[in-house]
Amino acid sequence: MVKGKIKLLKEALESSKSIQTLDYPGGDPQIDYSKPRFGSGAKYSHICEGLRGVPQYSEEDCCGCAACESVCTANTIKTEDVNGKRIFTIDLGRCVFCGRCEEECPEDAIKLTSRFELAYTGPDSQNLEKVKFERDLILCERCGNPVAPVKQYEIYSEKVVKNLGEKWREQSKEDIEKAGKLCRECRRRNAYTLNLHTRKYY
Amino acid sequence: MGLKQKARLYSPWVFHAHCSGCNGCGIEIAAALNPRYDPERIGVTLHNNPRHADIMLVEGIVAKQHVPFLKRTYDQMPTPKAVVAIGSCAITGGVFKPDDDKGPSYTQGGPVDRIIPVDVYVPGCPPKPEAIIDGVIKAAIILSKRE
Repeated sequence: MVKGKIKLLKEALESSKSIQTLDYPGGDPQIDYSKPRFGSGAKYSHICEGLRGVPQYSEEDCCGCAACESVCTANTIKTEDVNGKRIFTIDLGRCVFCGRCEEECPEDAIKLTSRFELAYTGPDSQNLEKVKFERDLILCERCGNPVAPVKQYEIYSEKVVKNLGEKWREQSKEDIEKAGKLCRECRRRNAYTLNLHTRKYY
Repeated sequence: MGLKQKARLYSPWVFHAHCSGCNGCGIEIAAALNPRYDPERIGVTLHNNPRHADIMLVEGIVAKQHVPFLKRTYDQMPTPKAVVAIGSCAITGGVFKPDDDKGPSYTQGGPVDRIIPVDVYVPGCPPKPEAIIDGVIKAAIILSKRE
């Protein structure tokens, strides 16, 4: 117990040598403020590497696959398929800054920034980040149900053909032309008539 | 700006209402009020009595058992008063409200703004101490404009 008190006293004496209070609002994060400066106090530079702040979305890169929605822990990101369009709504008030969407996004369209002072004064405030954007969907040729966003279809139909071996490339190209724009249910029903079954590859 | 409003702007006393949260935001509030961030230089002092406070910091989803006590604490504060909801639980229900279709958890008394009027929302899980100070400053500006 005595040892602990001595340790506490030592720390108290050390902290009394310089000012422990950090400046608010803080300084420039580019400058090294790690050494506390006597007089004006240490500037705060707590924007360290890997700080998870507000997520930023780039609408250009987004392919509309909704992978971010499926991993979102607090249902911040929501999608709806209405009239041939997929509508994304992102409500910052629910976000827990876990960073799962950034990990999962195949096109790197979501990135967490280091911005964290996000207080807003009401639902109509300018600081409130409510993102809303749309992606066009491909509709099924037979039944009219949504299949996938246009951009995602373009990117992944190329990727599938590229990653396959040369042996099956021609055949899978034909399959994509035949059944690429059918919904999941129609593809399952017509697998026999369209000769889509995977057994032909063996 | 009159003398009263000026006095309120430069010395808002805060009261910390812990409404059945996980204590994550509570620890951040405690960190925001310590000498490292030193909110006393902008006049913010923690007070344990709502009758002496100007701003209430509410944290956590408000459980159904907790709703009447939060209302009573709010009524005990003298006017003018301001409320700051801290953390995603207090703002929208956060992870305790998994889906709109399924409805909220059966213990949840709703987000804070269903029970008492909220002026400033501070998102984060938990928000950083600097973010809380930012919210309190915004609440103090709102408070100084009220009669």
